[in-house]
Amino acid sequence: MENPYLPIPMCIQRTFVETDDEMLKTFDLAFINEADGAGFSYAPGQFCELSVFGKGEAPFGIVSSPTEEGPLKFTVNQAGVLTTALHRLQEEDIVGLRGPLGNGYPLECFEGHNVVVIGGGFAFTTLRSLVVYMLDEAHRSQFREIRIIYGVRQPGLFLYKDELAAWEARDDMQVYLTIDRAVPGWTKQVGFVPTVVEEVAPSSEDAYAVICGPPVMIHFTLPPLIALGFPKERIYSSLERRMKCGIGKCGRCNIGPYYVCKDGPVFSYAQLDGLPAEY
Amino acid sequence: MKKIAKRDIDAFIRRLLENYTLYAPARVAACRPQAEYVTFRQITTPDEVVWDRLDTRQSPKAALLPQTEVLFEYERSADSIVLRPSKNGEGKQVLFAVRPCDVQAIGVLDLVFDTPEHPDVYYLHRRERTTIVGLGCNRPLSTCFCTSVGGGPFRKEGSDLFLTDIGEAYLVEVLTPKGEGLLAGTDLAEVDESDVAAAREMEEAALARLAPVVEIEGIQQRLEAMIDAPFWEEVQATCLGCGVCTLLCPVCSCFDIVDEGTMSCGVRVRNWDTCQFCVYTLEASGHNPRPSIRERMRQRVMHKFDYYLVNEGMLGCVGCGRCVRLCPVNLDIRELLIEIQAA
Repeated sequence: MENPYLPIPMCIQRTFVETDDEMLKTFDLAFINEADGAGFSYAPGQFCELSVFGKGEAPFGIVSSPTEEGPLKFTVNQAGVLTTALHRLQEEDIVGLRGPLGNGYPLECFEGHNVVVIGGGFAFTTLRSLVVYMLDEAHRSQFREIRIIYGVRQPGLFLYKDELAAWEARDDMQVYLTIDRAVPGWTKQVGFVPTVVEEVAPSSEDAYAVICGPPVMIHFTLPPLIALGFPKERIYSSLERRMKCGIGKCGRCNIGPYYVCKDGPVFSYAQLDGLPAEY
Repeated sequence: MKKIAKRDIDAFIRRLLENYTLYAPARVAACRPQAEYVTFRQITTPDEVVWDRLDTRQSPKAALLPQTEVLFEYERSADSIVLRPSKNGEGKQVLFAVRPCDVQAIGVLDLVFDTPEHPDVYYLHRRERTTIVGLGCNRPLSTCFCTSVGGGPFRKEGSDLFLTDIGEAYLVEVLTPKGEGLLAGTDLAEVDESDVAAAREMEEAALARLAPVVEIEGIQQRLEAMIDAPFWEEVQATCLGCGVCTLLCPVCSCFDIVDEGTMSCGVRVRNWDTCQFCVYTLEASGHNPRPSIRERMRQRVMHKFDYYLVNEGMLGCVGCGRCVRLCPVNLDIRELLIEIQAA
């Protein structure tokens, strides 16, 4: 019987500071044992439990896309004991990984439709995985219009800046970047994400919306989406909870009858309707 | 059905002790005699078994899911990390004189931990080498409410062997081959009609003391309709959030996983945890999805009387009454349920 609590060893190949407040770092992790890598296949939206031995384990969404060769990527906000320890690790240090866990985004539903990706703050992690997957040559034709609305407090806080620039330059997608308050030199959108959603007013026809961000952003973005005609069945979000086991046993990610770790982390708002708003 | 005379039961237990680790209701000494209590713990002699107490402080849950359990040791090597999963004991164990409510609770634990997609190896490793000897309840307590939640004082499901106290002897009912295995080398007497009649009388007397107090039918729909009801605001005012209800609950099985050690060597441990503590859901960012006792109390009740039914097809409550007896502010789950049904 396989032991679901044993992490596999991963080597930090590269660390990269994403934001100018230096609180967000991306870690490229490589499998130490080849066999572990060969048996690892995942989908955008899934997550892993990362171990810093001696400090514990915490869940993080997978930032890389299965369509990319090379290391697994995770972007981590320095917030508590474990993430602080993680931020202090160097290249070639060893961490543990359990996963992939959870369900991932319902790509089969998105296929043949327009997809509106809405992100706020550092919750853009698994959205990057999703976007990279959809833009992959082998997959781009499966999806129709792709729009991205991504907001942060100030320009320095965008994740994956180089990629955002590359996406803005593409003619097969639209990217709307917004910051909370105007700063000199900023020529793109200004305003909170819900307002920008209203301004951009993506059509709900044949469209799915994926929304990830702080709870307050989601709270205020849902009404404009619904006003635009998106039914709750076609609005998806990835929830975060302090998942410990990742396999539906430890109990702490329980929301209604669901466990975020095994029934999610991706849910449609139709699924969450009528449940305690404990996320 | 067979029976074993009470004067022979010590010899039976002694024989079990030769081959099994035994957990049974037994006294735990305290500095003051009044503070002494009975709980499930490992015993080494037959006379430690306390036969007549239904109010064991803890259920035998810890024999399957220890309060603290090492999952693995880790040690940094030159170029990787070495993990040594914990064996956590070998050998067979018997949970002895377990009341039907606690046996029912193990049935729920099995559903949570023995899932096809992610079987919990640590739990299953213990569960496989465990045999359960159930014991009927002749005189249920005023806090018992098993019959309200689908159980009964003589419910045999889940036990491998079941004992019924009929005065001078225990009726012995073999329910599984595992249970049969415990009886090897034990002389059992055949039962006669008067023994069966005595058992039936015991059961009827017990049931008479256990008039169902709570109507469970429809509770799910009631709960789902009152997620944001002011009810929770009112009932939470008394709760201290101490978590004793979940600590003692034979069904509650939530846990935390933590590392103990340095970054170069140590152990990863899982510990019982409780949804009644604010840190249970607190995130490193400071965000807490269940920020007050209101949400945490609602979670406990809804998990037990709604979500368990949805996911496991069983209630998360077996009516043992521990949370009723030991709540420091006398919150009574039966009263809560009655109020919910009436709301």
